[in-house]
Amino acid sequence: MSFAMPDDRLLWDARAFIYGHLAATARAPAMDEVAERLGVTSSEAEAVLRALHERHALFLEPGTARLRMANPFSASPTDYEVTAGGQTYWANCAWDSFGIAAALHATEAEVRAKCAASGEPLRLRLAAGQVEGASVVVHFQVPFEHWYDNLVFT
Amino acid sequence: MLSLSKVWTLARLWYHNRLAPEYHGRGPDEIEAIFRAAGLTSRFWIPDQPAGAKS
Repeated sequence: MSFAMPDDRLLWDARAFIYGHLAATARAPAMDEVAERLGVTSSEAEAVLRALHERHALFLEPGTARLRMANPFSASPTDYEVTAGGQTYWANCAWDSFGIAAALHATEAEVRAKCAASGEPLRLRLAAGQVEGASVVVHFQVPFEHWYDNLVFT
Repeated sequence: MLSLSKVWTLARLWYHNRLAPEYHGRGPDEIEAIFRAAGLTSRFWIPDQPAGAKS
């Protein structure tokens, strides 16, 4: 039996597994773990991830089947670290830092980043569901309609 | 530029259901509704807005 376009059931099962793995461990699952979960080969799992990338459901490293982002989570180290629920995650950007807390339904979290203007280390807190750090602003450089032109830059 | 408070509001609207297995993405109407709920109505966020609309 040949494996053509992955069916939607596999795509969304894979997406749910990847997001669940990231939320639980702060790390992306390996390709063989995705394959085992879906009951397919590693090549077929790669095809599933590529299909999810095409739908903007997650974002792969260019030219590979390696996960780079499952927003708000980063699959690789970044300058945005978020600690919530006893786990430390990497976020893709300032907004995704709070996106991780939101996705986890956390009311307590700590974000460690750097000021883009000065390079000064920043430590921001979410306490009792409220953000602290009134003097900090977040710069959104790219208008929404162009976010996916270059998602890494965005 | 958005305040942290605004970013947190937007983050909750945008990501609150991201871990749900039934989340399969969202369409333009839903995205626009999220931006409007966060008070983001300028063309930076909603491209079809008339010129002069403010965030």
